[in-house]
Amino acid sequence: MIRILFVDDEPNVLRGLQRMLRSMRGEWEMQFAGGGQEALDSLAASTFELIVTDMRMPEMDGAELLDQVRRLYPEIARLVLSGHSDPKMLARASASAHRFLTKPCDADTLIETIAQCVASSRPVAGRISGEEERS
Amino acid sequence: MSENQILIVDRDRATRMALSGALAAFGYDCKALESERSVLELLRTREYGLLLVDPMLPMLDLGALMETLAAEAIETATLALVAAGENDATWEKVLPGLAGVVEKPDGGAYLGEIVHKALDRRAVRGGQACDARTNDQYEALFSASPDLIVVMDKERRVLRCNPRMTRLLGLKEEKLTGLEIHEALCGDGHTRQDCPLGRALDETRKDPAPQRRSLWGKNYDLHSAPLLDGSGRLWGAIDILHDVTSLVQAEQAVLRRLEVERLATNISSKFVEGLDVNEGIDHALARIGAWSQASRAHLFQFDDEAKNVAKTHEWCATGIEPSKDRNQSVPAGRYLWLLAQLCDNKTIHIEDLSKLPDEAQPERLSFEVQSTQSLAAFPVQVGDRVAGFIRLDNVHTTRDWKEEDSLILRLVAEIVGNALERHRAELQHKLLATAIDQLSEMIMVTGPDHLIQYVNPAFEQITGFPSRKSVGKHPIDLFGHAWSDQVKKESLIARIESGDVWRGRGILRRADSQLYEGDMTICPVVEKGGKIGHWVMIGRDVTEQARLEAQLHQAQRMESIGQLAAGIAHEINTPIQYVGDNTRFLKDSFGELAAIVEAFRRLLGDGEQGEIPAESLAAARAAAAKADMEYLMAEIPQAIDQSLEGLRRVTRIVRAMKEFSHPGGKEMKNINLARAIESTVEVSRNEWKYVANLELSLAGSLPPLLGFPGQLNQALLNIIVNAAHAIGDVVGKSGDKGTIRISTRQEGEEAVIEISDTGAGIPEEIRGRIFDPFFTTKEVGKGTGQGLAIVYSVVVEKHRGKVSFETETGGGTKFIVRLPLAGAPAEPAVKLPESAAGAAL
Repeated sequence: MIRILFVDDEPNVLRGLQRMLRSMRGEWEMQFAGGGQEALDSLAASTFELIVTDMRMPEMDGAELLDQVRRLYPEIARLVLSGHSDPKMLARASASAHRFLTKPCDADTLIETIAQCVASSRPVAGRISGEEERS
Repeated sequence: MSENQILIVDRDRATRMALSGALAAFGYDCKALESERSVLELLRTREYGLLLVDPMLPMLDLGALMETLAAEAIETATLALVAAGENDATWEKVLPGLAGVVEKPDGGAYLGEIVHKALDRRAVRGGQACDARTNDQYEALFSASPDLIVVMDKERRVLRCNPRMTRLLGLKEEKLTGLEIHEALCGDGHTRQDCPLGRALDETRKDPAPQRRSLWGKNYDLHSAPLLDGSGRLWGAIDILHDVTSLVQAEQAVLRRLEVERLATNISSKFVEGLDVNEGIDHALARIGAWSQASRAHLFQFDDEAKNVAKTHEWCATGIEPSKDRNQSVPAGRYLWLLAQLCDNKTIHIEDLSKLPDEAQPERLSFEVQSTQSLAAFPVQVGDRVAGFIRLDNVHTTRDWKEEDSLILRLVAEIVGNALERHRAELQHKLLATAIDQLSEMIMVTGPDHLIQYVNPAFEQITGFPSRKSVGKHPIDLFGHAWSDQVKKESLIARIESGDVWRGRGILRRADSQLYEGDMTICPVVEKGGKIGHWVMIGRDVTEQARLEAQLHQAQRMESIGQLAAGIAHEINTPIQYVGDNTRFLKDSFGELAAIVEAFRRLLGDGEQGEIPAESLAAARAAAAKADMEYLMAEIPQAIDQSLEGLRRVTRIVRAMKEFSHPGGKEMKNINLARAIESTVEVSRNEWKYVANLELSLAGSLPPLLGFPGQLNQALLNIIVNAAHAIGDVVGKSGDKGTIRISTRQEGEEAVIEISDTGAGIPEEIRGRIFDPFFTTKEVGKGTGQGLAIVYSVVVEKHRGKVSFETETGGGTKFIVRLPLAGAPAEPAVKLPESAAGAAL
């Protein structure tokens, strides 16, 4: 089972993801956190292979969270799912995220991207495809 | 003295009148008789010194009459009146007692001399003959006379001096007697020949008219009369010196006054003649210098602040070196004593440098350098200010400046002051005229009849109407009907007639019929008594500017919408995300439910046929178990509810965006203030929601507000975003949230909007500048400094409202916006005395 942590300050988003990705419950074990600190707590409590986070959150935003994750748990693949699409936010995210997805993001793209990230032995940011990285 | 009366007796009226007139001119008192009858009776009154009589009168025996006179000791001399050309000495032979003969009708050229002599001879004769009483009278007269009287013999040796004379000379009469007159009296170095006294003795200088001479420092009229013995021989002279000093002084004063007037006229005419003011001043200095016999005449002028003084004009008498410090500016403080006197509007006369007071040491040194010995200085006033002074110097001589010098110098100073004042006014006028000519704004002046009187070159250039075609026309005829409609609509004329300034824009027509937008200020020129005389219009072609302004405004709106766009995108994208997720879930769930429904439907079909097969029951159970029926039944309604909520959020924000980004336009519209605030809050949600809670307390029943919706929304947004930033600076990333409170209420004719935050407040030192354009405390890139400037512009300039703030360091800030509810004028009308629209702070 692949363990994935989803982080978003909007509960409706977490609930929606949970429902949408229920079909993956056979392959993925998903946890949900409402903010940066809660996410770090979950990461400390158990092992994850992937983290999917929103960018704009109060207190600790996505960029800061991923920065910490990169330092504390470099093996965890880091994916951004953000409502913001402005270049400044992208630039900040690209420093610590492997992939950047913008909301709204359909289930197939999300599932595929997560699958790619997890499958990749050395997942990198979206500019390089997972297939090429494996060689 | 009655004895100087002359009796004229002649039948011929013309003769009587001619003689009376001629003798009166010599100062004699005449009585003229036509008839000879009462001659003797009149003469017996002894009031007549002389009888002029026709010897041929039938009723008169002249010889007998003269004998009677002699017998009765009546001292009347007799002259015979004869026809012109008959003066052949016959009568003098016939009547030896005659004093002479006079020709008719007017006595001829020698009348005065003959009469004088006749009277004199009588006096001498009388002197010998007069009784003691008469002699006493003469002596008393001689002693008491206010005139100086001296009697001399034929050799000009002094016989008598009256006491007035001896007092003047300081010598007793006995000391003087016997001296020659020029030694005794004149003492002025006269020789015998040019001694003015004893003129009657000198045939060549004989002249009955008195002579005016200056003697002993005074002025005298000299009368000199010959003394004749009984047979008419000259034996001496009596000189009477009448003191006319005060008369002469008065005469001189009058003459001097005339001279002064001539000088003043001459000087001022040079200025009036249109001479350059500098030439006029040079001329004035030259005239006044020459007139007062000064060595130098200068004009000094202060600069505008009276800090420095410079010698701007100088005249020098022939042979005097011009001074070297011309046009050199000297600090006015250096000659404090002099300037203090002049600025007090006093004149200064210094007869002698040694008489300068101690505190005038710097002045003394300065004068000494210029070899000035004495001087006079006079303030020159321009308006009510002492602008400089005229100074007259005398080199090498001390001089007592007289009162009349003072008079003329003051007068000249006044003329020069007036000329300078006029000159300055002309310069000012020229400057303004040049400025108006060079101005890129068009200027049009109309008369009280509203017809154009003047247009400047910019007017010609912008409108295309040359001055000659514009002057005399009515502005509306030039500018076209679009404007005339506007003029009517805004009752512009009525407003200007009431003394208001009109400012606004209008569509005008050029000479080539092209339309353009003009930005105009029309102000009335209020004359004394409040009457409106002229109108002055200042205008610009703002067609291009209006286009740019519209573009700029649009760009600013786009920019602020752009700044919001990221936040709004986030606000929309988030619900879309979970609506999509839920829909996907519902789709998946439907498939699972459909399988369950299918299994249950089969079960139902089986049941209706009576027997339910065990495998159908098992299949239905399996389907339900596989789909986690419990989970679906719990989640699906929630997914639907949350999706609907998400859609509501999207709908709300899209509507708010639409409302917020109202296309605007130039016309004012009714605005629902509560809706405007709600939309603005909605579109800015992402700006504040991470740092603050927002509390709205909006009055529900506010009347609609007339305004520009797009601009007003932007102003509100700028205040809200500012509030969010202020709170953000305080709470940082602590996770704490501040509060933004927005309330509205009605106060009289105003809607009041208060927007308060719990930020740090505005530091005291920048409170006065927060509405300035480009003023920002934010780091580079975060703010352009336009936010509050736009608020000010929108609220105060566009909506005629007010914006103010209350702030407390550490205690947050509250912005208070007041907007007139309805009927705010589209264009500001400004009362004349006020300079501009009042600032709100």
